[in-house]
Amino acid sequence: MKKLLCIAALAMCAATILAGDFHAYRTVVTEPSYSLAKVKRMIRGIKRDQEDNQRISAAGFSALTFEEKFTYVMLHGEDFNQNCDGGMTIAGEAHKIFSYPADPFPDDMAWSEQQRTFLTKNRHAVIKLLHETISNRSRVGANLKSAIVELNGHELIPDLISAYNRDRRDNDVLTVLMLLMKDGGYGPFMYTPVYMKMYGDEDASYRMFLDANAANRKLILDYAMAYYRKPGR
Amino acid sequence: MTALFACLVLSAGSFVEIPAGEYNVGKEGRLNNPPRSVRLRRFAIAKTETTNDQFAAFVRATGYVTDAERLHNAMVFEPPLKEFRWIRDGSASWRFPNGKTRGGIESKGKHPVTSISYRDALAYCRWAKVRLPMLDEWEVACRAGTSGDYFFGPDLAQMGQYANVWHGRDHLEPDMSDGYMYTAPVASFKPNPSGLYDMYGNVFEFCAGHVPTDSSKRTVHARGGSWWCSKNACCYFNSADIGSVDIAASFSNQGFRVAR
Repeated sequence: MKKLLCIAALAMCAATILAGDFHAYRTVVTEPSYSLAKVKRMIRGIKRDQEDNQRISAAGFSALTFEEKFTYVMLHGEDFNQNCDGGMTIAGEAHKIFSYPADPFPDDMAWSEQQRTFLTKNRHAVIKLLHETISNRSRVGANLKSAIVELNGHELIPDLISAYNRDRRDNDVLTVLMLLMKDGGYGPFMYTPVYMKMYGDEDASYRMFLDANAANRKLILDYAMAYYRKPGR
Repeated sequence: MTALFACLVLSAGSFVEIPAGEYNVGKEGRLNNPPRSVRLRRFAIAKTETTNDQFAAFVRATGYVTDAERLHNAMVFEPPLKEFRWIRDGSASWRFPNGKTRGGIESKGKHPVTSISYRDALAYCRWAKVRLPMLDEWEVACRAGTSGDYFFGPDLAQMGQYANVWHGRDHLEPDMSDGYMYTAPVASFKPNPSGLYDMYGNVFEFCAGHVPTDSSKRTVHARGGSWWCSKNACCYFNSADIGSVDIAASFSNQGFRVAR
């Protein structure tokens, strides 16, 4: 009996560790290659700031090159965030497609207004750098996913689908595809039961998720590609 | 003198005693709060969240300067904002919880203090000779012997009787449907079965302790949801969920209640 209990306890521990590992997998960020060493040095300097302000000055930000700004924004959130969005600490993450992707930054930080303005004001050029970064790196990290959602980057749908086909564990890519269709008001998707459950119903919330089964995956990928091909998207 | 102030601020009748014992906490599927049994010593927890009047007494007695006043880094809210978006406002602090342009606390002495950081809450506790509740203590007090998501039963539609929460579909429009867009005076809604008010909603309440997914010593925790939380976004107004925030962050939906 004792043996059985020990085995059960070990199995529970292993399951917990695996669940924690997958949570870490979801929150991995992708490092852009532009001036990476310089920007990482700068961020380490900010994090040593004893005054707890996790940002560079507007003048300091302005002095960076465009590519350096992109790398900085992709790697560092300047403002505080509250972590109370539903899916983050739910068990069984590996088998779920969530309605919103994992947060991009550790320690409950988020993009500041200065950083969001950089992204949106330079949408076209940022999309180009996102495309290059996805092409050069092995996956679309949580930071890139957030930027794509922030910019409603529907131009990147083929990049997202290719990335998903390279690593089918990354269900947050499917989440991003759904959000692009939602934010783009893509009618055919908005009539599906998937949309209603995740975003449309009165009770739809940030906690919603789908089973990551073959049917749900195929539906999202098919609708996303159809949305991308839609004239005048 | 300081001790006298603290006694006046926190009289014995303002606490509920929770007996020592073994209690069930947590919820299936929550990595940070799995179902388990915990053994607690007897403790007492404040019936209400700490108010602006109480915090003002602390500041008057000590001259304490909060993180937000020192660092000008408070995060405030005013619609329209996308979900989970806050505005950094250098003028905001506990005296002006959503920034100077959105008004002060002159007529809000009985509202919970907000726009303070975890460190500020600890400083208040040291002065008042109390402490923050531990994460498990908060949950046991909140559950008051119940085992579901809510101490009032499974019907979420009853939340409005017990809690100041956000009833709008999103945060693009103000929501005053329960009379309050931001905080409400403490004890404006029905208490839980133990006589504790605002365990859900009004302000996220800082608690002491850590959770399994903490990746940094800067991460601290708060429970119960706030006036900002809606059933569509956040939904942390329940007995099981545990939110997190940076130790230096001051949000206008963040406050605390004390224990001893």
